[in-house]
Amino acid sequence: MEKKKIRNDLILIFVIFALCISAIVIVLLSHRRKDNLVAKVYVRNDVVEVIDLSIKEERLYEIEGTEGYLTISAKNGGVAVIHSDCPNQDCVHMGYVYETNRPIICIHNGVYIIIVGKAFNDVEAG
Amino acid sequence: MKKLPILFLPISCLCACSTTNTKLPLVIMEYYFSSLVEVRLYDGSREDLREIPSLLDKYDQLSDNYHQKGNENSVYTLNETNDEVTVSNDLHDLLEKALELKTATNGYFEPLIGKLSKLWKESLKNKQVLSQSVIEEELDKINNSELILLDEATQRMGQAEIDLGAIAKGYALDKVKEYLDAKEEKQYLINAGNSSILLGEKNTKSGLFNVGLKYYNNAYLSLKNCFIGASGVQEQGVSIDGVTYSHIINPFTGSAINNYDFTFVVGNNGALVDALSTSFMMMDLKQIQQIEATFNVYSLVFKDNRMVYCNENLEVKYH
Amino acid sequence: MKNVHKLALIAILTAGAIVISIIESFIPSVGIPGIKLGLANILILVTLYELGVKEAIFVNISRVLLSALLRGTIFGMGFFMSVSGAVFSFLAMLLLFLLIKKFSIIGVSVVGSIFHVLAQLAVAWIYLGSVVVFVYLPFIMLSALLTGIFVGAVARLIIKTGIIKKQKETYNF
Repeated sequence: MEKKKIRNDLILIFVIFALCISAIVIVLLSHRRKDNLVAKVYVRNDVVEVIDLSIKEERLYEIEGTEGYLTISAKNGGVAVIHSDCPNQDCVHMGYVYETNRPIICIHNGVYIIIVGKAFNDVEAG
Repeated sequence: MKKLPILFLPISCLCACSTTNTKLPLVIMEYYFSSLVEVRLYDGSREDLREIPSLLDKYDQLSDNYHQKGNENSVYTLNETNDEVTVSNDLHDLLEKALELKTATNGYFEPLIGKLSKLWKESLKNKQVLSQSVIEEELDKINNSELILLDEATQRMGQAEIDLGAIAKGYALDKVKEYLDAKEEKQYLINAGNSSILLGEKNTKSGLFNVGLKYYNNAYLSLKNCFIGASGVQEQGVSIDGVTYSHIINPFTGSAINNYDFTFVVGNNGALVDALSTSFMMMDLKQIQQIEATFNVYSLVFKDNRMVYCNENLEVKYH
Repeated sequence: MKNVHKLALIAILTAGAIVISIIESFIPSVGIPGIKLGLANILILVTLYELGVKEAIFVNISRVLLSALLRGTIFGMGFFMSVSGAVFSFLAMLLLFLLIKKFSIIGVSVVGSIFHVLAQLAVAWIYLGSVVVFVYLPFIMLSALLTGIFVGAVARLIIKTGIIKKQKETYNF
């Protein structure tokens, strides 16, 4: 009985492990570092800032989250949260992110930042 | 759930690579109306495409008020003389449209603003504000001038000059659309200097074009089968002592200071949206909404880098 | 809970779970801030296996409330994630422990751990209104798997030492 349970455990662990590893590979492969990228800053589900990452110079943005303020820095094609009014500061510890599909999430402030490709416009009105 | 595609990025990349066998569009880019005009046919014949530049060229010649282009009687000819001038049917129709649009815009589009507009342009080139006395003199001239359209001849009375710059591109696009409709072309894009745009359908499933707003970072709209008129101070505006002077002159006050930075009008008539985008720069939001309702057009209005009005039928998206 | 000795034992287990919760809050989380791996499950599992369902529920609720109070994060975002994680993880473990009975304590712990992070991820998803959180799902799942094995193994060790069994026999509860 006990042996059978251990065998079931091993099957369960192996299946989950295989699923995780393949999913991780897919996510890592989907990371893109390109020239034409923008970082979109969301508070809950609203875009509050769109940062052009093709500009090399450092720019700072102050964002009001649901609980406090965040300072976002963009330079050399990367974006980072350099200050946040949240208890665990995990978003700050993540440092600069340069690739797509690696969102910076600050759950405490309801803020997330994702890097996406600049979409193509067929025509510019202006 | 709309961001779910992020997870399938690798797959979509593969799909995108395998579906690039769509036909390349036919493109012509040439200068008309002192700006670059791009004509793009996605699924048309080269013969159909060839006709379009001649149409644009015709209206460029007819409407130019700075030079005599070609040998037909044009707006330039009318501005040269107070005599009766025999004009072609095309110019007659264009002038008729101009007078009609003057009424439609409650007088904010003034076909006889030519001279005042020229004086402002010269003055702003030297970073000078046009003096009030000159403005008043010119406004007087406009009020005492008239454009008389008869079947057999056309006459400009008074000292004010005709300027159809605000509607010429849009009007030409109307003619291009008539032509494309006759040829049963559906997939096209004609962009006249980014301020007048004619959209058909794109060669994609949705047929929608992404229309970016040049001076508003990453903002865009998805549109098809419509005319777009855009006016703004960003391109031609001149800043003197912190005040921005526009190329759009208010025909009531003679002032070159506009209410807004940028207007964007979507509708189904080229000349109309062109005239409205210009007029909206000088109107208040209430007037704009009234006109929107009357002519069934949708607009966006920007001021100080912010969108101050967006018609409920338009959706501004951000990249 | 008429037995004083039993009460004391539960109190000790609760205290242990709180301490683990607080220590865990200093461990940075993978990708999404606030997602905890659920190390306190060690003592929840021990309670569940040795004392029973009611006692385990009691220890769990006290742990969630008291550790949030002690850390001063009660009714914050982290608190809701913690509650949902605790509830779903416990329900999943209960299901495996009482009804399915096909897994050992390590399997139960792994499933509990995974449900713990899934529930927290779901809260993050609902709160942010965006599925971007799921980009980190595989990473979080992997760490949950490893944590689950660790937690299960430690719980098994504790049970094997027979400390609690001895208490139960000595004081007859």
